Amino acid sequence: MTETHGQQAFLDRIARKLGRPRKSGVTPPVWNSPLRPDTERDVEDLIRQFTANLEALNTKVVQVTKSDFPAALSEVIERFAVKSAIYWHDPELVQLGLVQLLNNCQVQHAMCPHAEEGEGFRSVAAAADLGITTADLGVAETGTVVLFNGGQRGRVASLLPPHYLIVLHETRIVPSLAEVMTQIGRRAAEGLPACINLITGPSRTGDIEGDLAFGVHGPGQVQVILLRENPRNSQAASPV
Amino acid sequence: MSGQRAEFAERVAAGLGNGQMRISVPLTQDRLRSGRNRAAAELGNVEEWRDRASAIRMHTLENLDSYLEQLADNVRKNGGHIHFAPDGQSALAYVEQVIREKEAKSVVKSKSMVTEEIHLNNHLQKLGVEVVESDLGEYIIQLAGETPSHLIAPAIHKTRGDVAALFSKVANRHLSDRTEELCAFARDQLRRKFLSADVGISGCNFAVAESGSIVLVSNEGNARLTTTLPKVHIAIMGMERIVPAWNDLDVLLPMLTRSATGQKLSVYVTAITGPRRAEDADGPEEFHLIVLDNGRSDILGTAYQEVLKCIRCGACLNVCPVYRHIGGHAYGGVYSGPIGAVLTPLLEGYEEWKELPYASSLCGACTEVCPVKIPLHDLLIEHRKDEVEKGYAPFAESAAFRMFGYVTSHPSLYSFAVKLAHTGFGLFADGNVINNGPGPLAGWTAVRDLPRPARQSFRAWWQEREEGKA
Amino acid sequence: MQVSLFITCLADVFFPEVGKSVVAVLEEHGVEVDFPLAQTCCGQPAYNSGYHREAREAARQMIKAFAHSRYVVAPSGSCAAMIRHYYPSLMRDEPEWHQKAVKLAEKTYEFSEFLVNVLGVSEVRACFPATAAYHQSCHMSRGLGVKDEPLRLLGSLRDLELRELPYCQDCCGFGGTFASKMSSISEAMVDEKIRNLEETGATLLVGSDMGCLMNIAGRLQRTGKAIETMHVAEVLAKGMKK
Repeated sequence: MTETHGQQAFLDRIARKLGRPRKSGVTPPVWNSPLRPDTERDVEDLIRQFTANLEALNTKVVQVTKSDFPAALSEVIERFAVKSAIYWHDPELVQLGLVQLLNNCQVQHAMCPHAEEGEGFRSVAAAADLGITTADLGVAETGTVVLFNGGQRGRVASLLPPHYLIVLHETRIVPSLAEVMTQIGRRAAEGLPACINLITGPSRTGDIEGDLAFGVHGPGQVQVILLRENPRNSQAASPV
Repeated sequence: MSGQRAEFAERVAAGLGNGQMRISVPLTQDRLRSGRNRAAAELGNVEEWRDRASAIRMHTLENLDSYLEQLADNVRKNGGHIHFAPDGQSALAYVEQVIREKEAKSVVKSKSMVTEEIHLNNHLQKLGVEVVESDLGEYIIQLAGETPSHLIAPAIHKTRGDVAALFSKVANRHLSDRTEELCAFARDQLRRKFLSADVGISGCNFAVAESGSIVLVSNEGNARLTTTLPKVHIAIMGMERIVPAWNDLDVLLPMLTRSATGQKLSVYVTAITGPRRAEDADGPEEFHLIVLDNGRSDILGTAYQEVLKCIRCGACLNVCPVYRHIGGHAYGGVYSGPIGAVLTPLLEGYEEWKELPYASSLCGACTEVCPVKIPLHDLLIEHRKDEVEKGYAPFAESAAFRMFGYVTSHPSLYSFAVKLAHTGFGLFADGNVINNGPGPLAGWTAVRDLPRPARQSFRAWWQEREEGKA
Repeated sequence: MQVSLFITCLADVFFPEVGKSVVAVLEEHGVEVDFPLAQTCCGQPAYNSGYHREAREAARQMIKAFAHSRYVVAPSGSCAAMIRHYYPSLMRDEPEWHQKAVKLAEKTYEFSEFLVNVLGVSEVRACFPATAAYHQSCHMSRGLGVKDEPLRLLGSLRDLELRELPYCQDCCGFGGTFASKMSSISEAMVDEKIRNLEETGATLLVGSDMGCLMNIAGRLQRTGKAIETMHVAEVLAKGMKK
């Protein structure tokens, strides 16, 4: 009761200062002219741009077909010396046989739990070497991946471990942030998940004399495995 | 009155006399400024982006009550709480209430200028609550017992040696001044705090009215930890930090990060929409949003309204030649640089802050880079005008300018004054140079020579020439 | 073509050579120059210090003085910017004066800007043997958006070597009353400007605003440094004689 009373007084004051009666339910204007040049780009262009952006941020992107995924994964495990991993419960990862592959590589692993079993998982997550998630979108313009967290797609998988692996399907790459915002905006009407993350490369800081350093809070090393449909376009995972 | 003046002058002198800072601030400034310029050039049409960003912010301010109401409705719909705080006291009281209800002992914070504005840390410490700043720069500053000196690089004035000394004290062992070792220590130290903290307090880069979300931008990931690990999340936002819709962020997010550091996008952009849902693996159980006025509404509807478009990117600090030499602390307020010189007197009055609008050569570098097109240097002139009208200007100065107005509107008098200049200034001249001028000239001649006015002014020469022709 | 010279108070009192040079260069390019004696100061010192009533008095006088001019040319980016940007807003509450202010704003030009953009001069037949750097003043480059014009003119002179000035976009610390009011900050700024200038090896600094040049020259002199300063018009006029 007092909460909404405070709100009314607060908003009334704004209207008074603006010199007009209170407004409600204003519809935002539609900004028509696009700010980006209207260039047609095929998936190869998008992948090239996405990859170039991430490589500039110390982040490796490898392109593989589903059948080459196991090799690419073991390479990541070797590269980051991974002994333990946490990951999302995600049909795409299930389909790729992630659990079996981790077992094969003798990596201890844990899946993000249902809420009711949540507590103990936190210490497991804090101690894990690697986090693995899929991504809902990739952004060519910036090298960003977009994660709609929620349910067993836990926030900590992309946050607590020092290494982070993103599995992204090629068809998820969009040209720019504009498409991301439009998609989020569209979902806003039905309610958004409690947490959405846009992630662009490894955690970094310049707070000590402007000296760039990685991994101060989030993962310091990030890699993307880009899943390709067409074997012609994929490149064999190269040794590190 | 003169005490305040001395205080500002002392702060400036301290800044100018800080040899280390005179090196580190320009270096950081150059790095951030060239990053910004590269990122702006990359857009190709940065002026169109600035126009759009400005238009979005302007529309939002003009309809602020409506969008804040929509935000509040949506926050509640998402299961969160929202509190409208007319002033700092009200915001502090709300935080205190949540802390007491939860019997919280420890708080982790991610960088928030608004919490600096209301002195939240002090208040929490008085309640016996441990508060830890988690942004690396803020953590350094907190250990040093100082305040941030830059909007986005709070420890810009600290050297790696300073940091090593501060961290070694916490570690109780000697740490080298290598960046990696210092970062690793901070990661380890702060991770433990994160895992045990009861409450996380964050700022808010943008709230989105259409979904009731708050959006946090960080490179380190501390804002994510703050909003993920503790059971309770409290976000505090200045009431103007809102956009109507997600599409607006397509413009404002890149304008923020490109202007701040030159990044196409920061490493982490995190949108929080209410507390964790029942089925979620992680996230806080409670979400509170505090919307703070604290003097902002008084700026609405005035000549200064555009200052509320600010998205706190710090670009104006990175190009300011005054900031470059005196550093952030000389400004004395929470907000430094050109934006601080405009904003602080608005939020806290002229009495204590009357010098700030004069701490600018009006070079306009700030206005040129501002991603939301705030006419910063024009607003500084506006402040000077208000100070003159409200009687803050020294009497001698007012008298001199009254004379100026009279003389410049009477051409024959003006011509006479020009004619007298050579002889008049001659009283203080040593040959053709004045190096110890009186009154208002003293400041000039304290650091540089002033030429003596020419024996024959241009207008005298012209008249002579015209007469010669005739 | 007829042009009215707005001399600016600094050039009138301290640097008459600048005015004489402007006259010489304009006349060399077939311009008939006049000098309305009723002109005073653009009012910027008062405006920037917050004395807008007094600035308005000066502005009215200037509007009257140049009421019948076809073009007004000033050897100062800063004073030209004052007229172009701030006269109309100063008069916004007085429709009749506002209209007049807009008219003056529309016909007022900075010297290089006028030469290049109105007269269409792309090179000046002149010779000036020197190693020089150019000071890009803030109000000229940011306020008027005039950056390349003076460089184009200077670049056309024979034997004039132009060295690029690092951080050329940064303020020299003049800022009108700022230089006196905040003299220690101003000192730090002008010293950095001079350090950058010394790095170029230039022995001459050319500029378009006598306020900046007076500041830099005054500091050079005080610290015993032998770098000369000159207005663009002076360089052109002297070069034409050679």
